[in-house]
Amino acid sequence: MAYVRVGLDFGTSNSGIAIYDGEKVRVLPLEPGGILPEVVQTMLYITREHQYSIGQEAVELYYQHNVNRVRRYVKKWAGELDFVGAEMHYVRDIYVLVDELKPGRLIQYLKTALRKTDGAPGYSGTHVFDRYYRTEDLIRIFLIALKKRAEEMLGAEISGATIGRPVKISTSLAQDELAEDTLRSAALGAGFSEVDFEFEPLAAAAFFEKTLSRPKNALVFDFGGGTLDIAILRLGDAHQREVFASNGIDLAGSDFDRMMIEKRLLPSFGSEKIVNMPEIEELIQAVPDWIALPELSTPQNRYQLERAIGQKVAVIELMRLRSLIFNDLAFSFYNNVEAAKIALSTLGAAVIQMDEKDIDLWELTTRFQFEKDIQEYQNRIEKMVLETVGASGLEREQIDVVVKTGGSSNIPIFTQMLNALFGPERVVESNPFSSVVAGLAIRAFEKNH
Amino acid sequence: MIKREKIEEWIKEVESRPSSAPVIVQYIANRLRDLTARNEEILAELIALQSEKRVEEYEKRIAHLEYQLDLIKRQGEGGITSDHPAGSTSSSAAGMMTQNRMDCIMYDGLGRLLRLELFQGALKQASQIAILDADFRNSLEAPRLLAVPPGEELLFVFSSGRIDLTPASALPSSRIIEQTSDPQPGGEKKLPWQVGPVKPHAGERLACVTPVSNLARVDCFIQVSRRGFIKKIRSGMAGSIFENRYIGAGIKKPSDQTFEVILAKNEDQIVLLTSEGYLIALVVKSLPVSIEEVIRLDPSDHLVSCFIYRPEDSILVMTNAGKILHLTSDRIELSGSFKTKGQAVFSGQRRAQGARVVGAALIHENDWGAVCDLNGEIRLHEVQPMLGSGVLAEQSQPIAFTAFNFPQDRG
Repeated sequence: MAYVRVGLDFGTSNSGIAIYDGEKVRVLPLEPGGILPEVVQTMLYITREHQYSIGQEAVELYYQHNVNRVRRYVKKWAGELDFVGAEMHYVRDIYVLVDELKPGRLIQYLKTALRKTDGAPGYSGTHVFDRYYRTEDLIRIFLIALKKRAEEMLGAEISGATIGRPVKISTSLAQDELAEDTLRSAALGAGFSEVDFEFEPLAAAAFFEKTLSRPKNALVFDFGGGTLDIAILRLGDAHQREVFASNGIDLAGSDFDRMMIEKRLLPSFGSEKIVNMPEIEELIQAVPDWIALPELSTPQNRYQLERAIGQKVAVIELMRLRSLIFNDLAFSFYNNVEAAKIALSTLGAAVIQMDEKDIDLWELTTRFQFEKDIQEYQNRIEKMVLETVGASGLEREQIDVVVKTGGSSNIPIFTQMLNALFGPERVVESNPFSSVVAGLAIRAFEKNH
Repeated sequence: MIKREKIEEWIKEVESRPSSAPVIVQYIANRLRDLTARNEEILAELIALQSEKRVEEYEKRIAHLEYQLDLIKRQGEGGITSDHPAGSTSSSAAGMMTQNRMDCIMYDGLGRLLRLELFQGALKQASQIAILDADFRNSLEAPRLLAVPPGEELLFVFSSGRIDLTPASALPSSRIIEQTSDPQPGGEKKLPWQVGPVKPHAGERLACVTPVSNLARVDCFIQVSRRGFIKKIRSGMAGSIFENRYIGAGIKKPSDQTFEVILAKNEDQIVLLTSEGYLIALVVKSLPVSIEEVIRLDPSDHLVSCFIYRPEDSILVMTNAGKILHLTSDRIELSGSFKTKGQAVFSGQRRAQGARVVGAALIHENDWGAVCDLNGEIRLHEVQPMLGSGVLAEQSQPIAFTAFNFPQDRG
């Protein structure tokens, strides 16, 4: 069997694998039935029997198993608490209510978990039924499945990978190193015998570099689902490739989704009508949080909601909230919000709509509203771009080309911002979903030859 | 609720980007259309409520739910009191007894039937349990065999689409040949056909008898015709079907007739088997709600068996020569399309030599098989020895077959 080395983009929202033969990049269509076959959603579904699926298959299984399903809560012993006080010491058993019919867990934003690999108060891992999975285990499982798909497609064993990483996974250097180590261990555990890393914007630059006929100073603006990475470098001459400056921020597409929910959708779940009911207010405030929402389906919360509904306070809104939480509609809800956000990149308006049991949600949102909501983010990003240009030692006029890539780079307000800063003639778009993985494949090839 | 500020923001969008106006108008118009349609539905509902039509409908629904509850209760209790000689024992003893009792029912298109009560402890391998006073040599249509628990409710489906319901216990029963005494050679008593409380009307034939006490736990009825046409009916329609005593003829061609009605869940798989030995397995979810041909049959062929299939079980197929075929899950291919010929369970050569399937059933290791032959003799066989020998030694020309197990063996 032949051995190959690939470029692997492990993205917050999407992942992919590409291979370069010295002439042509081939981004593997690992999701043949998907709208973009080259893009695999970075999602992992683990069943009660610890069977794993990724990408579209994970999403389909999740829907099939979970939406509108029956629940059965049982009390399970979780541990014990020791009370030690003045001349007294007693032990108390702690029980938790567990939904024993839960068929599986869908895990998203695996890459975001890398930022928090140092444990409390972040995310070092999670229990999936009877097993504890560390962040590294979850990523390893995802990479195993991704590698298997790629190997089947290539008919060859993948020996090594150049994996993309944000310029800054975390603002703390120690945490950044820890995150890269975690990703490396996961990749080695997944069977990649040789693993190295490349900054994602530099990978995007490597792909773009193939289109250059002469050397240029380029600013790469890689704005994906989880992070924004900026790099300023000299491209077009392999012998004089130089990185002048790079910068990153953990702000991107998922933050805009959350912002849209907070600003536009919380009133539909009662945020403006519920007062002096802290338990219910807490549930409403958890709606934008994709991690918290699925965990709220406990009997106590159902009781609280039903009691509030019984009191005729914001009945319609709370019935929506109840359905969102207890019919496992959270994932579908976030997908709708994300789809509306994507639509706003090309249209002036989009509708967030859900028509499920007890939920008739219809929210017309416009680009004007969206841009108003994310204005604060835009200011931060503009400041960061200017700081990076400053750190590069170049003047703005010396930037020959600005390369946009990543799904969030399509948001018009950011294109306008770059146009205003550098002039529209200098701003070009590279393939938003494949340029990073294609560049990683080129890097993988270069490291091998 | 759409507040004034929100509308102002929409207007600002149009002011800043006039090209957004058509999109916004389109969205609002679509929403308005949906809300208008919904409003009309609510108004119609209100009128129905005010005119008490809805109340009547809900009363009917409640009555139907009560009926289903009753069926479940009967199942849970293990059935209706037995009229077996030991039926006068205490209720717990009677409960135990129903756990090891099954009713074997044989019927034909004329609505004639025979019900035999089978008690687990009294059965012997390859034992003769009855001889029907009938000669099937000149009969065009073979009788059908069915085994049900004693508390079962039976749905009688007639060729016209008419239905009737009756408890299994209400059917006249006949005594089986005692296994303890040595029957004198030639002295066995032949049993006559019985006429039950449910009979076909003039011009009708009894198409099938279906146990329905499981109704509350399934998603649909599947009506299958002799020529391989299928129609799926939501179990939610059961109330109106039972009330109107009509399920529909379930056929597209006048020469066709309902062969079977079975209850299924959406995730189940269904197997159809034809006389000429073709089998098709389909996922219930994929079945059509209008009558459609799912298996393409030769003009001389027709269905002889139809049942819910579970991949963890296997299928026993019986041929007219008493030969037994054992189909395990690796031999059953799930069909993704309709109107195919299906997969052959025996070779074309054997088909040309006259081999035909007379019956088939899903089997477990502790099951029993009931077989009726051309002479009207009904025998019970344990499934394991049947599979072991591969042929039915005691009965050379079987015409009907079914398999069953006793409730207490189901775990």
